[in-house]
Amino acid sequence: MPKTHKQNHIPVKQIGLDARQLGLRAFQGGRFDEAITHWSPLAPQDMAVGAALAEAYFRRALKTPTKNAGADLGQAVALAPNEPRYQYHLGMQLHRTGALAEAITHYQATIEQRGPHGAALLLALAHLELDPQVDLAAMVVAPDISAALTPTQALLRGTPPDTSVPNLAARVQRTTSSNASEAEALLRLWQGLDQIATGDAAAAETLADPRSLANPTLIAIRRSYQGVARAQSGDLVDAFGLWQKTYASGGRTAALLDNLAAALQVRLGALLDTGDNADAATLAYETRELPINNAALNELRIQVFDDAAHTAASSGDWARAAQLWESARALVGTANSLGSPRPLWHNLALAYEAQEQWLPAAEAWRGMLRTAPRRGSSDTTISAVQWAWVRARVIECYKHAGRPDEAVTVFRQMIKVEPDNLELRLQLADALAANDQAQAAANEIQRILKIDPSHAEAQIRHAELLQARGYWLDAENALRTAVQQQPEHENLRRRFSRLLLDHAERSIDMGSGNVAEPLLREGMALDPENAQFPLQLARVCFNLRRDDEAKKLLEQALELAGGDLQVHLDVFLCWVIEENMTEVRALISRIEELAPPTAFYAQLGTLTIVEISSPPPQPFSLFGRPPAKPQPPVDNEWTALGQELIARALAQQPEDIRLYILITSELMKVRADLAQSIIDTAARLAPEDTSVLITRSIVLALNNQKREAKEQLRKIGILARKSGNRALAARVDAMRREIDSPFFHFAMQMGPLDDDELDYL
Amino acid sequence: MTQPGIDPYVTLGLMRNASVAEIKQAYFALVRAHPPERDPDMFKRIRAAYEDLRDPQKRAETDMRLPERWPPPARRRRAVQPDLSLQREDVIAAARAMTDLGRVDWREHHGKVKL
Repeated sequence: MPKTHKQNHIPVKQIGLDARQLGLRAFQGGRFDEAITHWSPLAPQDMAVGAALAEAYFRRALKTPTKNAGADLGQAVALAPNEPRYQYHLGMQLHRTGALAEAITHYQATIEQRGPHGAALLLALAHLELDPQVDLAAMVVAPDISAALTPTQALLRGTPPDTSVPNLAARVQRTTSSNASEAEALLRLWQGLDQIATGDAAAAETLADPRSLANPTLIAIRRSYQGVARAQSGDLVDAFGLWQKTYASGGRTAALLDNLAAALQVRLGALLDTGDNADAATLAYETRELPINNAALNELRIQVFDDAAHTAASSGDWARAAQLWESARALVGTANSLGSPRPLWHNLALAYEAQEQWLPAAEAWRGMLRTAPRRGSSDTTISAVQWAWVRARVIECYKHAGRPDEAVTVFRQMIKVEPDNLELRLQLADALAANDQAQAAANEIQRILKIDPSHAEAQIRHAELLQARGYWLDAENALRTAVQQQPEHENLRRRFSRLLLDHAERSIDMGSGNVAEPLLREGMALDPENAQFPLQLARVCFNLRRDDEAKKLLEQALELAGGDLQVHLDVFLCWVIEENMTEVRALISRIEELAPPTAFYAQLGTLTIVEISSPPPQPFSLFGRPPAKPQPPVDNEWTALGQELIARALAQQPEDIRLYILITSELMKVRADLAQSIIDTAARLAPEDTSVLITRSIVLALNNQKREAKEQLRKIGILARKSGNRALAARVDAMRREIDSPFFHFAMQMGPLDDDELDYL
Repeated sequence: MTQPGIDPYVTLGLMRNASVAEIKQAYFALVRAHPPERDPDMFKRIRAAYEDLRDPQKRAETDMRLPERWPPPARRRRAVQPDLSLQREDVIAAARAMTDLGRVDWREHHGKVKL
């Protein structure tokens, strides 16, 4: 590879410098690692460099006071044993890590070398920590230091404080370099701690000292023990507050987390006992970050989160529910002893699905799958069918999230672990199909059928893939053979009959009744309880003018339908198409006995008018024959029937604005004139409902009252601006501009518009 | 199907582990109390709940569409007790706080290097 200019680049300032100078430059730039590297080889021969190297180690230790700091300070002392600064800092480093005896040695060396003054106090303290019984006065320790440490010594010994020390505050002040107030406050802290040790109730007052202390650690200790004093007097609520404040300010005392756990448990228990579950959940949520590793408390917190999440979910607040279940899951993850996170993953997946957050939902279902028992396990809390359902949700959620490829990856990973699990392979095929990998899906299905040729679900998928490619006959043959092999398999029979029905309906729509009839008869034999077969067969018979047979089939469909209103609606439509008013009236009487919802009559009414008023289909012409001129609307007995049914629905729910809009949206496709009076009534009932007003403006435009339509839209724009809905205002402005366009007329008659269409307009 | 967030067991007043017979019994009792002609909306809810639970396969799916309760612990653990005694570590920490041990700024101890 040719050398580049960059590779040969040497900083101009370094050209000609030796290791000594390079080290110095690095040292001056604060790059102590580099300085140590340059100087280390030279130090044994060069005393000045040795001293510089010691300083580099020292400075690196101060810069990054980690566990390596001790080693660096050791190097500095080894290179320059007469430098008291190094001795002092090495002593402190050893002191911090608990190596008290070694620390004492270095503090003594510091004092002998007339090093920093702080060494005397630290030397005395190290002795005290090592042995609280030590006689500080007998040691060669300055009297002020010995005096300042008497309260500490008494507490460590567990003896009453020595009150005979003269001028203690002033001596503490001198020893700790603090001001008079801080020294007084420190003595009061020692007094409070002594009261805590002896269980003296006065501790609470002593420790509630508002004066400043010289150090944040001292403030945290005072606040934490103020909490202890409150707890000693039975006030756990105040104690909890003080401990929380201590924790929040970064203070850490020895029993702080345990005490927080105990107080939190008592607080949560008290709230639950009084039924304040919401407050308990809030408290648990606010304190969720506390790193308390206590099983009893965590169990309680999980319970509180779960209860509150269920309450939130049942009121439809799935976002809150997800937040709470997520907190519970995080806690369960801290210890195995808290149980399986399976129910929480399950609930989280449901909560995310309810919010249509498909990616986290998919991840939550995957989390649940990870908790599935191994094959052969006796755990049947969730059945095999239900686990398969969960896997299907993974595919579905990734599909919704626009990541079907993720589902494929998940199933491939699972199959690696369980290559003989045909259910997994089946779901991999589903995931591949969802990822538009039809051929790979087909191959996977073939693999399953090779292993188990009678695998019913695989046979069904195989047929579905054939159907999707338009190979209807092949699909039918595949399922016909499968049903012959397993005539008792309910799902196989159902899917085969569904396939036959789909094919028949498609054939009827294409005018091929002769193709549909044998399919429907075969399906009817297979699924004799399904009302769709006689219903569709009746349509074929009407087309072939076998009216008597059709009537019998429709009767059969109604008998099978029971209370199924959809079938009644389909039969109703058949008789409307046949324009048989006697049968229609008879059917309405039968429908009345089923007590359908009000909207059903509106549906029957609009369907009748739409069906009767729709123009007959135009024959297709290659030469672009102009469409027939639209005929003016005609009122007859059928439009009268439709209006009668609509009036009946509206009489039952005269204030249901949605019902008026629903009826108008259907009617305006073919009879905007009839829709006008309906939407006018709605506008009188709800003069500020923008959905009503928009629909009315469309109907006005369709009835060629364009000026009124524009005026109506202008008013909606004013209402929208008043309520701050700028998006709606912009939309109606756009509609107003487009109202004269022929496209507007055409588009509106196609049916009600959704937001995207309105945006487009 | 029952709407999301609505528990068919709650609608029918049943426990999650209700038997098929109990489901049927609850359904008919509620239908008698809320006949469709008198209380169509309630009847619709009851019917939807029953449809979700009557068929075992459908019920298995319905169960998966419902949030699960976190199981109560098999045995109650001992409550945490606060430690209200004076801790030796805190006394030492307070004493150390009076010294140079907690100090971080040591610029005055930086030495000069001349080569």
